[in-house]
Amino acid sequence: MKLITKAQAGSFESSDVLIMVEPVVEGAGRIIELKSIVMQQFGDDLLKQINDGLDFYEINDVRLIINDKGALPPTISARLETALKRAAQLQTGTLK
Amino acid sequence: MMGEAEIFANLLEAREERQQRKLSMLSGRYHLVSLQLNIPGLPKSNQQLHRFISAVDDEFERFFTSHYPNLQWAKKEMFNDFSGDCFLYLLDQTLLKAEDLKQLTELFEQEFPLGRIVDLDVMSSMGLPISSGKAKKCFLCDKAAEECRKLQHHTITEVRECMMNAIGVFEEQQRNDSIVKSVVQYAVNGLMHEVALSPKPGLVCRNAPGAHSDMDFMTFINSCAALAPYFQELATLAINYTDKDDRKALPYIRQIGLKMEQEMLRATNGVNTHKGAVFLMCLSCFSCVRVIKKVGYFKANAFIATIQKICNGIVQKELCALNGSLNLSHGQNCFVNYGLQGAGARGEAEQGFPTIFNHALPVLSALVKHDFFFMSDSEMKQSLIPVLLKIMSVNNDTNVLYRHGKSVLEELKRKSSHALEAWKKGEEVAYDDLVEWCNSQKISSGGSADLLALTIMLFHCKNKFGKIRA
Repeated sequence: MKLITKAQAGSFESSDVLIMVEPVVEGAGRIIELKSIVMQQFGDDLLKQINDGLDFYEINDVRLIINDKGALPPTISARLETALKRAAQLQTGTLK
Repeated sequence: MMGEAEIFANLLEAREERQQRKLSMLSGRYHLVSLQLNIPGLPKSNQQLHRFISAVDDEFERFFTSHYPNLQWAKKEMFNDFSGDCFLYLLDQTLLKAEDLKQLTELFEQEFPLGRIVDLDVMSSMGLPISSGKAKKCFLCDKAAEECRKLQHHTITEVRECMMNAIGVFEEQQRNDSIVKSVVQYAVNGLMHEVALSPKPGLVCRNAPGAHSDMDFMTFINSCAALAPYFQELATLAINYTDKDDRKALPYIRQIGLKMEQEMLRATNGVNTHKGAVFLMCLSCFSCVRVIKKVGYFKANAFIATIQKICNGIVQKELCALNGSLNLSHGQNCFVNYGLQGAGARGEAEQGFPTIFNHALPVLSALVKHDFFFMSDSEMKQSLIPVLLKIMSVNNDTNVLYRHGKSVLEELKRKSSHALEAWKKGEEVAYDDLVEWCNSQKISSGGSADLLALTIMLFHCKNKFGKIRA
């Protein structure tokens, strides 16, 4: 997937996550800033889920700023997908 | 029906829109507090949840004002979307730091009994969520809520059910509290309006002691204030009363009633202002609360039945079996001398207050055209005097019977009936004559006054807790 523009998905509501995507120059790698209210216990799981998602969309160069308010894995997947697709200008809403 | 995926997407979309809505309100000028409920599962809102969040809003508003009496929200908004009900409060950012606002909302979440269900988030005027860094505890166990959620220690159904039950209990407590306070208010209201009504035949009034030389208006004020707290005790007894058999309640009611008599005598320097009223009001306070709680509304027939059950056999036990006892009360003496006509307050109670339900209440209900609480002094007089006269025209008042005998009682009833008919035609002279006659003959129908106070109380109960007609 090719990222074209800055985009975000999600919210600061509890049980949600806010993910901001920013395209970077090729070769810069994945720069991930992760903040979570459950960082200590679930930080690693979260990071793994994000990396798996980026693998799936074949994205190697990106800056991600993630602010997690205790989202469950399905929410994280959905928010990541939307944020990336918005950055790739593939969709605007959550479903379309 | 929405599929699971669609529901999920709708939820996610609603949250994003909610955030947008919040951010768009800040305009760099306001801090924002949002009140939401933290209920897992669907629906996110229903009637009960809506009632609950409105009650929380009410509590939170008072909480805010009591901590910051000089501050006011610049704007407040309530809305509902797929993720539930939400209240938003905006505060001018120059008035308070967002961190202080967060501290306040946290204190509220701690102190409010169901704080764990409530989410009060603060967003600064810059659009940043203010976090306390403190972890909320799980509603079911004492672990951190987020940990339980992530590891799915409890099923959504389990948590939701537990929360809904807790909300149900909270609502019941609120309702109980409101029943108790209202009934107490109405009891005191009845006593106060009775004594304030002026002029009255022979009875203590605002400017005249009527037929009495040992008490006046001030004695009644003292007495009313002394009795007030005990109505609360009675109502509380009733709300917590679990025995299905109301007949067993009388001794418990009496224990409080006896304390009231003591307090009354202390407050009046030994004068009996309200002994009969205490008896009637105690029974009514208890029975009103019982019926409203049990039936769900003030059902007159259920109230009458409750009073009858509590007082079942009271005339037989307490009046008929008096043979030769010393230290009889006036009421008891009356029964010894006049039989059933002298059964007084006990007789009235055992029959379920026929004087009130058959005579007094219909008159009062017909006369109070608008809200009782909006009535002026003179409107009150126009509404209450006919009720008093109606009671006096039918009541075998043992106060009169005891002091003046049967023929005076009958004459009083006749004169009252006549004064009532004249009053209805707009002629007040007959009433003034009756007042004059009672005052000069020292005739005071204290029993009828008690029934007037009780009529007012029951009128309020009927209005506030009566069945709402569809």
